[in-house]
Amino acid sequence: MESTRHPGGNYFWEQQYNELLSDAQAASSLLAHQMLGYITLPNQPADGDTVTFTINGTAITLTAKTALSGVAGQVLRGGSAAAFAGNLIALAENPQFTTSNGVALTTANQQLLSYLGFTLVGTTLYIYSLNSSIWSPLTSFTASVSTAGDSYSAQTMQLFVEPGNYWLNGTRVSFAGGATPTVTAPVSNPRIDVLTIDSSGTLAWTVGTENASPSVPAYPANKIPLIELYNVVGETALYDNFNQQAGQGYINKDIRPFIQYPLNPTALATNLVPDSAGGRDLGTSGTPWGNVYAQNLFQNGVGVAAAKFGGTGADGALSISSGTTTLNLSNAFLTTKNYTSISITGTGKLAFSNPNANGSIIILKSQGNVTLTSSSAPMIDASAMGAPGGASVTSSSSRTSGNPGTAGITIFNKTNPGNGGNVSGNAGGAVSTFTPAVFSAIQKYGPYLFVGAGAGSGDSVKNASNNPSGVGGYGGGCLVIECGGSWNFTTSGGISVAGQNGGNGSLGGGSTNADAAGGGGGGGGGFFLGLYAALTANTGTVTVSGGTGGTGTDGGVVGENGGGGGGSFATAGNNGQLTGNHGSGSTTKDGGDGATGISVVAQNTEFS
Amino acid sequence: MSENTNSTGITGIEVAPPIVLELKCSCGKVCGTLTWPASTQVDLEKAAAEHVTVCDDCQSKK
Ligand SMILES: [Zn+2]
Ligand SMILES: [Zn+2]
Repeated sequence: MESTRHPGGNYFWEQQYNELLSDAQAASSLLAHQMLGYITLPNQPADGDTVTFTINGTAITLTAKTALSGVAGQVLRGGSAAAFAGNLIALAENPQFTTSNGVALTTANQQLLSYLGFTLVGTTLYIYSLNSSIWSPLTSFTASVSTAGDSYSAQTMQLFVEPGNYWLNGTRVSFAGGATPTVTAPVSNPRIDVLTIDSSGTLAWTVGTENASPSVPAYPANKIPLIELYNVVGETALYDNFNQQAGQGYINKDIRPFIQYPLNPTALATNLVPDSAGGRDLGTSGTPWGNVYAQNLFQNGVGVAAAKFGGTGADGALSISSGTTTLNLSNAFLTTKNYTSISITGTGKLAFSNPNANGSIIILKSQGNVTLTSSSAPMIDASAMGAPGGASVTSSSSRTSGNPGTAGITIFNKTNPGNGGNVSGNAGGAVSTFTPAVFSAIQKYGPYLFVGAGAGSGDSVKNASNNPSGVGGYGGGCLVIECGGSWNFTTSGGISVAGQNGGNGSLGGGSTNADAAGGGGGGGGGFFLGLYAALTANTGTVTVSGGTGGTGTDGGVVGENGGGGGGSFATAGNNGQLTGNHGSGSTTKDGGDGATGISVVAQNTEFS
Repeated sequence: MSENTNSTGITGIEVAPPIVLELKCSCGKVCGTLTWPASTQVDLEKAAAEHVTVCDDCQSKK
């Protein structure tokens, strides 16, 4: 409620005092204002001890009594210093009433006391003027106490802050009221200071910089600002805003926030920071927030979006309508691209180069649609991005065995290479074996990813000429496409993770009957995984075949051995063959074919 | 910059164009694009080095 204005020196109905009390309780919390000084009353007075207020030159004596006898100004000394202080302020604030703790003052003294305000904090009685610019009856004040150890101190360079309760950084503080630190007058120019209170209930000044036109210093963080104080050179007292005096400092602004500074739930102009790293939660498991909207989210410093299905979009929208765009894999084990969308149309094609020494994993993430309608077959070519085949050999004397291919190694899987062409065996790569390497970045697909293994090369027999054998084919690569939008794939053979064909053996110039060269095996087929959020069409097909083994040749006397085909995940590569005695110029396929790989295209139901 | 129409349909507000990297053959033919929203910070040099393009004509002459 808001009470009507009451002129000083009048009597009021009790109802009106209740109105004033209500106003004061609501408005005075942490109110900083002018003060005249304070009386410390730590000692219980003896019977007959006095407290004297001298107002406008008139001494008003309040006398401590063990028992009241009806003499104006008597105050019951009570059972303790605190009890007496309580009785004293009760009479000082309500001098018109006689109670069991005090005897009413004369009418003239009642009026003089009404010029003052009082607040008791413990046993310290703070006294302040109620003067304003339109009503300033108080012209002078001092006080004294007769009790030993008790005293009055005039203090006009401090302000008094009324009691109040507040929350600051999760701490509830009950401030009992008290004086600020003493203000030092500026030296050569005006200055604005900011008064704050912290979570320990400690009042402090943030002192501004002197300037002819002083500016307000920044409010310190983690404290509640209370007032801005305007100081002038030569000031000896600090006044209320409504009672400014020439040449003296005054409260320029009451800046008590209604809600704890700096928390403003509608428009934060500052960072929202916890009091310790990792120490506070936003919501709880039982009471979570609803939607969280943010431009970026980080977990332990890493962008959360990076782990999201469909990726971050950081690599932009990829659109290829003709020609061949080649992504250099730079021999990396894993290459991840984060597109916002992928569109390969017209005659466009996306190819790859420089696979890893044990085969490469390629992950193409798309936040939006993946449109694969190009006539190029394949339009995405990850064939031969698996493990390398064995290099061609050229014997320098009699027979030299071919080289084995290289194993395809991914996260949990190892595909086995084909053996090189050899008189004692030309085996293809066996079925995949488990290998326990762990790479957390793509662990979500980890158990399924594999690349095709490399095939072996053929052997070479020299009699008269140098006869290079066929090279083993590379295994097929591992390609994953995350489609966060709609999947539209319509081209037959439009994606390939095929193994590479083996090379052919050939006879050098001047060869004789006893020269021979085997063909290389074909690389093992790789793996394709396409996961989409929505489906437009999936009539396209993915080529996962192993490479075809190469042909061998000889002069009709000694046979040659083809290399074994590379293995894949679920199937073994085919063995190379020993063939011979064709007669000069004829060839026979003797390299083993690579094993067939795997393709899966499915709606994403696992990853968010 | 010309006057554009933003997504809310209000004319007169200048809308920054997207960032476009042309996927261009060495002969000059543009075969595709990489496109980012205007507000993105992009390392265009890196993106260009990663996406090497050869056009169909140059590919068939090889
Ligand atoms: Zn033969
Ligand atoms: Zn070209």
